[in-house]
Amino acid sequence: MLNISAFLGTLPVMLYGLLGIFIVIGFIILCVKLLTIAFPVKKGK
Amino acid sequence: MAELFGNILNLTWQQVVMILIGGVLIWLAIKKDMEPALLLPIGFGAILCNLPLTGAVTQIIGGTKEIGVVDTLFNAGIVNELFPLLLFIGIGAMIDFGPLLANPKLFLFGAAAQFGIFFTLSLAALLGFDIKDAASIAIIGAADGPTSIFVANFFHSNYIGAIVVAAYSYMALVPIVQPPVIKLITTKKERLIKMPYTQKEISKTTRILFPIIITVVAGLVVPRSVALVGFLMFGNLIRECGVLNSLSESAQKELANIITILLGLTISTKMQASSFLNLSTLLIMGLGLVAFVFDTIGGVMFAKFMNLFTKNKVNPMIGATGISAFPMSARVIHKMGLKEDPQNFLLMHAIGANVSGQIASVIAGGLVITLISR
Repeated sequence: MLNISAFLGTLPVMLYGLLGIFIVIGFIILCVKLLTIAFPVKKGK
Repeated sequence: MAELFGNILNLTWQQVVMILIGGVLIWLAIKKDMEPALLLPIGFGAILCNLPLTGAVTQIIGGTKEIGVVDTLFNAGIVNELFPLLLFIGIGAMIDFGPLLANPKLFLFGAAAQFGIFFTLSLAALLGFDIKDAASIAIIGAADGPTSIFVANFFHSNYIGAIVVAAYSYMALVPIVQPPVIKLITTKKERLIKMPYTQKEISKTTRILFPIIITVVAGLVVPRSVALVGFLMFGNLIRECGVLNSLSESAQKELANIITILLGLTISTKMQASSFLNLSTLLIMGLGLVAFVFDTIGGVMFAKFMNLFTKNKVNPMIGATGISAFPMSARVIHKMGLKEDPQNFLLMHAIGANVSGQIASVIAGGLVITLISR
């Protein structure tokens, strides 16, 4: 028997989970971009 | 004579099946070179743990409870999450984040390729699994052994044995699982998209600060992921700092190898016939495959979505490398790209996306724990 109510209960988890991953990853991308700007490779090395 | 051969009569047909399954895993490890570092100890452990009245697992023998050595190791290293976390130090020390730092938008494919985890969570719940077991099964889609063990153990899942076997088996089967899925959802024109690579140097300071910042960011936003992310990034920090080469080498080799031996052997305590041989195990193997398939679909579809807005098109196959099966997935996609066009070298982009999957998968693990525990 399929548990429809349990399935529907997991949909917010799916939404928040994927949103959460993209938010964290988005923040990480921002940090990496700032890092590469703040600490470029020194010329001549 | 009865004392010598009496134990044979204690052998059940279920235990015989499990011993055969152990044999199959060993054969796959040796003959087919499928994740031998894990499948061989797991396979041998399955044989050890399914011999009746042995000392390998905790059993009641002659009315006395005898603690088995495999259970002792399980309590020492799996129940408290120790073994998977120590292994992550080794994995972190092996990873070069350079190609990813040079092209940070590849991180997005790592995020997108975790879709299969959440899709499988919903499907497992629909099929009647308790929410915590559904989450434990879904994390197979992280395509990462230590993360799967960590999350399944956190939820005290009874299916940890099947989950681990599924996770490592499908990681080894990436060359078989991913290509047909990718071909189904992409056109030849899309697979021919060229992605020129310009090597961009990353400063040592960036490489050193990266693991520290990732740990802090992940820890502040998803505190449940700190153990996983932190140990992974610690391993990477001892690699990148440049002053701990011997520790880095030890982490990559001795530490990773010792923990791998113990992990594989120890997990097999959950492969005893009484808990492993049931319909749920078959369902879990099927759901594990679904997780990997939808990870691939999630990554590829996201890449196609990105192409609607970007001038420099992304080859959608790169999206599929956002799963954490490193470096297998990157190699598979690189080969697929060369097959379509021998002048299309996707390897560095694929590697970048593939290592991003490592980070995204542990964040996903932390999020699953956070959201389900609430």
